[in-house]
Amino acid sequence: MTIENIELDIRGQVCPSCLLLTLRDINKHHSALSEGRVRLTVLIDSRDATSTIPPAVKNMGLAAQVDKVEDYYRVVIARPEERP
Amino acid sequence: MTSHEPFSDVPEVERLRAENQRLQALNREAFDYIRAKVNDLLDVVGTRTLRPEELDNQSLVALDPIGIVATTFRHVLENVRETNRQLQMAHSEIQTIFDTVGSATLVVDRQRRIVSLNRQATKLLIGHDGDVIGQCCNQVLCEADPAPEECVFLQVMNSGREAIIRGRPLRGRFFDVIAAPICEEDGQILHVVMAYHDVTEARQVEKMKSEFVSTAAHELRSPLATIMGYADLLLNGPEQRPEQTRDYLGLILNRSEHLAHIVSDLLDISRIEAGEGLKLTFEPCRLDLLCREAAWGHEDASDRHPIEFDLPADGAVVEGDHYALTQILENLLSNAIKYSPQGGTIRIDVRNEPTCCELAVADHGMGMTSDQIEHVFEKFYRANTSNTGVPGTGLGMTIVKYLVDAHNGQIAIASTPGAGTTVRIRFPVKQPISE
Repeated sequence: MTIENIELDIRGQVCPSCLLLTLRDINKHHSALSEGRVRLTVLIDSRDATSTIPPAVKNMGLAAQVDKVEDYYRVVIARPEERP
Repeated sequence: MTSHEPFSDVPEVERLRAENQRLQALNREAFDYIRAKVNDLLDVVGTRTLRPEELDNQSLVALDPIGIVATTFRHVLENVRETNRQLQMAHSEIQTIFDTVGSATLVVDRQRRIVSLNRQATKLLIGHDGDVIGQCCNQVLCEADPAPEECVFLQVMNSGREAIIRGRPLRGRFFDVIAAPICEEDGQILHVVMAYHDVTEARQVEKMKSEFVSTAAHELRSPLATIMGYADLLLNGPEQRPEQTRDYLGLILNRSEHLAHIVSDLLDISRIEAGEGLKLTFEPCRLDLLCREAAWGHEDASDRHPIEFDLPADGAVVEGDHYALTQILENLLSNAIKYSPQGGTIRIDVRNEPTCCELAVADHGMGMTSDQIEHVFEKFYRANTSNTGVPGTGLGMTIVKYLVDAHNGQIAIASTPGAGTTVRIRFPVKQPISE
């Protein structure tokens, strides 16, 4: 099964908007994310959001991995089995 | 005309302005309310306050944070429900394992208070369905406060490691008790799990085995002593008269046959135990004639124990193995003779019933208690072990039960201590095929 990757670029936004926009996209694709059909990659440059997004994602039964890329962050969200 | 705002003196305009200000205030209150509620929700999600400079009122409405957070919470709740469901399943699985393991298991805290126990523990250790959770295990299980070397809980608490006590007597049974600590992250003991393995039966088997070894040794040695004695007499003794010599040789043969019988019983039981079973050949057998043949084998004893028969005049045919049926009769008759006082009549009845053929062997001997009857088919079991005068290996009735089962028969024992025993066996008979 191929996993579709959806990218959400919200660089320039500050927390809590980052969290809200990320949650909005997770809600939009929640069943596809839970079934492992979709992986959501969020690009942010708000450092605060890197500590608020992962716990909120975990509460929704998903997993998030944060990587620093140059001057921004890449947050990959998928179901826990996918180990993003 | 004085200069002033247009229409300022028109009362209607004044009223509309006031109304407008009131509505603007309401609008601000509504946005403040929404922002406050969004902040409350965001606080739960784990973020900081949404400041007006980050998201103005119009953007706040356009972003629909309440909708986002509400949907998020729905997913969070779904996840919590699913996690709870999985936890409940895991709990129920663990509880089932806890209840179905053979050992009686108790979990106690550092103060010995019972935290949980399984069904086996309630049945074997507690003996009643009353609630013992929270009670101290030593008060519930031990009659007196046990010494540290007898208390597996204290051993675990002192050493912090697993401890074992073997053969702990409790409520009339014996247990091997294994206890292990459940530790917190800092290594401190939180609970102690104690598993009680019931070894009562294993101990009984051990006891019976050791009794069997001494009984078998005695049983084998007695005829051997007779054989050796008479053989020695014939070989080294004074010359005997021919009829005397024949008597001695007869005794040697008789005792040798007895030895062969014991060895044969031992081999039979070992085959049965190994699951190999005995090879039986089924054919129509005259049970009435087999009864008379078996009684002839005990002619010597018949002077001391008159044997009476009540057999059907037209015979009794059973589909069975000739050798096995003879073995059943031999064993029943031998027991009746062994456990009867001199002169006690032994009675053999055979009756043809519509669907079976019933054999009954009754004596007026010492009889058995109901507890003894319950164990009579167990191998090596001997009802009156204290009565060493009665020879036997404790295998006869085990073999009888096996052979009766192999014939699809049923065996029942009725006995009264001091009055006698009746063993009834029902062999099924083949129904004639109706045309």
